This record gives sequence, structure tokens and C-alpha cells, in this order.
Amino acid sequence: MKDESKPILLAHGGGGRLTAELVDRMILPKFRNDTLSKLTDAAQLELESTSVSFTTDSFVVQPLEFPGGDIGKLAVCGTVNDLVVSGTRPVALSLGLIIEEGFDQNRLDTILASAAEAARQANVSIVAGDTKVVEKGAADGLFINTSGIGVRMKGANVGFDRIKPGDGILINGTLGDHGMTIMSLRKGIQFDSPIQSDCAVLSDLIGRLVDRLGEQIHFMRDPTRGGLAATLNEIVTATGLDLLIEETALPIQPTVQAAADMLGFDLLNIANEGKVVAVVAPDAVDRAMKIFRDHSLGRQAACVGRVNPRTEGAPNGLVEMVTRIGGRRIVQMPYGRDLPRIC
Amino acid sequence: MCLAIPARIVQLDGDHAIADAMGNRWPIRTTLTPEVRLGDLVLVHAGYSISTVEEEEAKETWELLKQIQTPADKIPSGFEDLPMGGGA
Amino acid sequence: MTLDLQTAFARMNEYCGKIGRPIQVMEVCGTHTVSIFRGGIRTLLPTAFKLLSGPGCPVCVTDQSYIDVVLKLVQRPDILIATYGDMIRVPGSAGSLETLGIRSVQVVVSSDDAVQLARKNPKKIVVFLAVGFETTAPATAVAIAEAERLELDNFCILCGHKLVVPAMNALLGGMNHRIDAFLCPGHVSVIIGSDAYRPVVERFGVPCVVAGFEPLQILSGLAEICQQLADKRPRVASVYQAVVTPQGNRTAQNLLTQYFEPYDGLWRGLGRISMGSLRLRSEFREYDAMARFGIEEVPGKEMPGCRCGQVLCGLIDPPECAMFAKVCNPDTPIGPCMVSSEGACSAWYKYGHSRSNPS
Repeated sequence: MKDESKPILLAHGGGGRLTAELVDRMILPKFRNDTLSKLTDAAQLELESTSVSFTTDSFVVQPLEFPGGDIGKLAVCGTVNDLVVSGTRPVALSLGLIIEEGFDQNRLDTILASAAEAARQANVSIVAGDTKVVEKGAADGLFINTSGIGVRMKGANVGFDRIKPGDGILINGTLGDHGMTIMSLRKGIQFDSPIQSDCAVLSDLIGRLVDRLGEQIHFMRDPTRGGLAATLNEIVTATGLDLLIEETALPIQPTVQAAADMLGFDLLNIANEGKVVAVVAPDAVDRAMKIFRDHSLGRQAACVGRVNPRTEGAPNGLVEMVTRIGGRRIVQMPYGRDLPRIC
Repeated sequence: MCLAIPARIVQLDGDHAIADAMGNRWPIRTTLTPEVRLGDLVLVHAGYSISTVEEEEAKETWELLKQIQTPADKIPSGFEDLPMGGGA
Repeated sequence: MTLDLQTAFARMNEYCGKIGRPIQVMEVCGTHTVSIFRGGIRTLLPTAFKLLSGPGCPVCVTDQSYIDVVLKLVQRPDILIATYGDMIRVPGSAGSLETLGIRSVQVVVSSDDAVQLARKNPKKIVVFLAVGFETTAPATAVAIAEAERLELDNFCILCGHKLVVPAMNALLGGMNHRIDAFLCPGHVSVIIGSDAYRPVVERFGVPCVVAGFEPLQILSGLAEICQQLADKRPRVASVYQAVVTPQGNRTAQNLLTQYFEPYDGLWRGLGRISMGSLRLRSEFREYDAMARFGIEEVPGKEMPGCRCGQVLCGLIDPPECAMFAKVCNPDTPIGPCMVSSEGACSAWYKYGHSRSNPS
């Protein structure tokens, strides 16, 4: 049973009785695990390896709730996915909340429940947390920071240095779903749309991929902010290699494309939250595609391009695209903030 | 200089309408195309319908566009037989 | 009519052979420019066929003085700016709405949203940045009609609307004689009608062909141009009949005439173009931000070294400018053609200098 709508007070972050009450009532029951329940100042973990991956991410998405997820789910998916694309199995997460004074407690409860559900799906424990409340106007409702640690998946060996000419570039599904969902809710732009965020934990999908193909998976990254274009450009910046993608191979939902056309967006630049770009050895491409397509998060997977050798004499690598009509154009690093255009 | 996309009028009340493009729905004004009726396909620019779309004409173009799309279930495994940017 | 891919290329090659000399075709419209680059069309054209990017990007040709006026207006606490997203990054002499972090700006996707903003904020004066060509200007006229109907006294516009045909006349009339044909803007033509280009064909003897924005529609338009040049029979034609008629949208044209009048306005990089800009008729002065706030137009200074003027006329390609991609890029644009995402320089930078099309 939920309480009647009650606002978060500054005292809920003050470290006193109200804080303890909030933690006991709203947080602990959702994330319950032995480590967290001890409420020590620092969580103690027993790890199977001394080689540990560690990552952090802050979430400031607006609106806080959107079709396909909310900031709670996003905060867990984001950090879990950062770990798994690095070839690590997530072990533990921290969850830091910065709440604006007056925020509705029921709303917070729902957001925390979806964070807990995402953690369950990812099979990861939230072992440390923090709650702060800031004065009205000092935050936009709710900000969340999550950090996570993981240990290397057996057989995983991914990194920029492993990307080789001839490798295939795969993505597990359609482009821009998350970014266009958020855009459809943005003040001044809003429109009704069946588009849903692709926000999802990739642990299982990537676990299978690494388990079966091991070292043949050369590199992985989640194309979040800046979309596929940003991820591909990060690869060429780090490696100096050229990438060639094919426009007709890009998986795109017609509904998402129409929304992007109306607002003047290029879906290559738009954020995804449940996608992985995998760079795969040439003879493993078909198997990787099958593993993707056999999974619920990879039904629309596609091999969108390949890695080409470094161009002699060129100062840097380049991402190029073979267009629908057989022409060529380059795909640049996006600017970083997309505005709707009429032109 | 002007982005515009075709959308179908699915609600119409005076010159206020809802236009649907592949399931996305925008409120638009039909002030510039007083002749439109419910169900018409219109071209929408910056929140206004600026013309009706000749559906037969548009269909022919869409058919041609479709021909150069890869079928969704094709898994491209190489680029060997792709036309690579020739010309100037 | 739209051609299939093979036919379009076959015809272009055949007719280019017949023409027997290099030809230069200008795509007037910035949306065409972007679509041409995004479709990789330049990499597929016959060698003798050169595309020039024209002045049809409203952001590119909006004079710096316009942004300076906006930056002056935002200093008043009672003013709220409503603008299409396109204008946020355009620099005036001191910076842009984005770099200066101006908070009193609301991005809208329709002029109607700007009117609603005025209704919801009765204590503020909403200034709508009315930019764009004939496609967009009618929506501004409707917004003013709506403000009249609602008796809103806190809505006005900063008029920066421009007209395409006068610019085409100015180009062929002196700025660039080397243009063999125009690929005419599809959506402007929806409003003005393809007949609006007849005087251009009659005066200068160049083909004027209207096309849509899908790469295939553009190629069909280019093939039509090649055919006309090969036959030496320039005329007005449209390969975008699904939405373009010879007479255009009369309702929109009437609204334009009712609310606006053409005058010799400033175009960034091009200077004054005879009857090339729109301003509100004097009876609508109360909706004119310039008149309302007593602001005078001060022509902006050209950036030293910037060759956008020549780019806009099709006299040079962006890489011929010494600043291109070196000090001038989309993150730190210097000239107007780099500022707008549909500017020729921005399109060259973003999509252009590929391995197969080095620059």
C-alpha cells in the first residue's frame, strides 16, 4: 500500500530520523541484500578476481518518466551496460540520489522500484547508497548517480587495440528509439507517439555473445549519447582505422524515422539505451548475428558495416557511409545537442 | 530550406487538426489549406499543412523509393557487390 | 515524374554527353544541399556535372544585424524570445543565443506555439523570430492574424523572411553568370507555384526544375535539367507533382500579400537584394518588433577572411576558403554557411570530404 502523496522534505536528507525512516521504508526493502542491509559506511565485497572494472554515470534525464522506462531503470541499465560492454560481469552497484525538496514520495517510490527491477534483471546487487535533498530549484526533481564494479567475463578480451581491418560492425537493434522518445516529451516539441525507449539491461545478451564467441568479439560499446555516429567516431579516433557502414543496413523503425524527419534529426546521432555496437572478427559475424537475433533484445540486429585498413597518408581515420542510392558520405562526430529544425 | 513531411489528417475541428505520420501525431493548423478534409494526406511544415498530397503521384514515388531499400531480413555479410562511390 | 535509379543515371550520362561541355547547376535550397550530401549524390554525378550550393538557407542569409537586434532585445526582462531551433546557434557580433546562455528563449516548432506562449505569459512580450522563405512566411502571417483575433498586445515578430526568386534574379543578373540551371526548392514551390520561375527562364534562358528532397527525386530533377540543356530548350518543369502545382497555394499567397510587402533587405554575405526580403505592412506596425522597440537596422560587419558571400553565389566551393575546416567548423563557426546545419560549408564539412571525394 502506498502512502498518500507526501513531499520529500529537506530533513529527509539531513541524516536524522527522517532519513533513517526513508531508507528503512522505501529503499532497503527494494534492494535488500546482505551487504546493503548491514548499513555500514562502506560495503565490503568478496571478489573472485583482483582485476576489477569500475565505472560511474550520472542521470539527469527529463522527463523522469517516459514510455519504456524511467530515471531509476535508466540509472541501473546505464551503469550495468557500461560494465558489460567492457566485457565485465557486473557485481555491485551504488545508487546516489539527489532529490529536490518537495518531490513526491510516491513518485520516488515508483522510480526506486523500477531501479530495483532492473538490478534484478541484471543480477546485480545495489550495495551502497546515499540520499541528499537539496532546496527547491537546486535540482530538477531527481538526479541519480550510479557507480558499478564488475569482474572480467570468462573469455572476454575487448578493446580498441583489438579492432582489425575486415571486422564486422554489428548492432543489436533499431537506432534512436530512446532519444526520440525523450524528444517527443520535451517542452515545446511534444507530440503523441507510440515510440518507446529501448532502455534495457544488456547483461544477458552480451553474456551469451562473449560466452560463445569469446575473443572473436573484438570491441563493444553502448551507443548512448551521440548515437551510433559518436561510437563509430570514437573508434576511428582511437584506432586510426576507417569504418564503412551501409545506409540500407541500418535498422530503423519507420515511426522513429518519421518523427526524426519531422524535426530534422539524423538518427545516427540520436541516443540509444539498450543497444550495443559489437566489432566482431569476420568469420564470427554470422554466428554473432544469430546469437543477437535469437535473443529478445536482438531481433532486429544488423551487420551495418565493416572495418577498413588505415588510409595511407591520411591524418586520421574516417567513418563513411554507402548511401541508399550507392553514393558515399562521411559520418561526423555529432555536435552534442540536437535542436528541432524547420529548415 | 524547408523540412516538410506527409501526414494524414486524423482529426479536424475548424482549422485545428491532428496529423499522423507513421503513428506519430502532431497538432497542426490547416489554415493554409482550407480545402482539406478528414482523411486527407497533407504536407506539413512548421506546424501547418501547406498543401494536400496527390496520393497516386506520391505512391509511385514511394514504390520507387522502396525498390532501393534493402529488405529488412537481409543480413549483409560483405560489401563486395555494392556499388562503391564511382563518378566524380 | 520520379525516375528509378538506373534510368536517372542513364539519362544524366546520356544528356551530359550530348551537352559536350561542363555544366554548373545550382541547388537553390539548403534542404536540397543537405539531402544531396547526405545521399552522397555528388559522388555519383557525371564528371562534367557540377552542383553549386545556393543561398537558400534562411539561417545563412540572415544578416548578423538581425541577431544583434535579438541580443539587444533579450536584455529587456519583459521579453521572451520564441524561435525555431535553427536560430539558436547563429552568432551575432557578440555571440549566439546558445553561447551567451540566454534563458529567456523558448524553442518552438510552429508560429502557433509562439502565439500560445504569449497567451500564457501575459506579463511578457513574446517576440517571434520570423525567419524563412515563402514556405515559412505564411505561418507567420497566420500567427499575426491569430494575435489580432485574440487581441493579444504582447505578441510581435522580428521579421527576417526572404524571397527566393529575387535571389535567383540577383545571382544571374550579376553575382554569378556561370549558372547553367536551377534546381528549384520543392517546398517553396508548393507555396509560390512552379509558374513563379517563368520570368527567370524567360529573362535568362536557364532551366528551372522543381524537385522533392528524396535523393531519387533530386536525381530525377537533375536528369530533367540535363535533358533541357541537351535539347537547348530551357523551361519550367516540376518532378514533384504530388504537392507542387503551377499556381501554388493561393490562400498562402494571399496571406503573404495581406500582411507583408517586399523591400530591398540585407542578405548575409550577399548585401541588399532588390525586393528580396519581406517586412510587415505599415498597418501591422504594432506587431513589428523593430517599430515597437524603436530599433534601427545596422548592417553587420563581414568577418575578415570569410568567403561565405562567394560560397552563397556558387563562385567557390567551401574548401577554397582558407578558413574552411581549419578555424571555421560547426563547433566554432565563423561564417554563416558553417553556422546553419544546412549551410553549404557545414554540409561540406559534415558529409563532404570523404575518401572518394577528397577536398
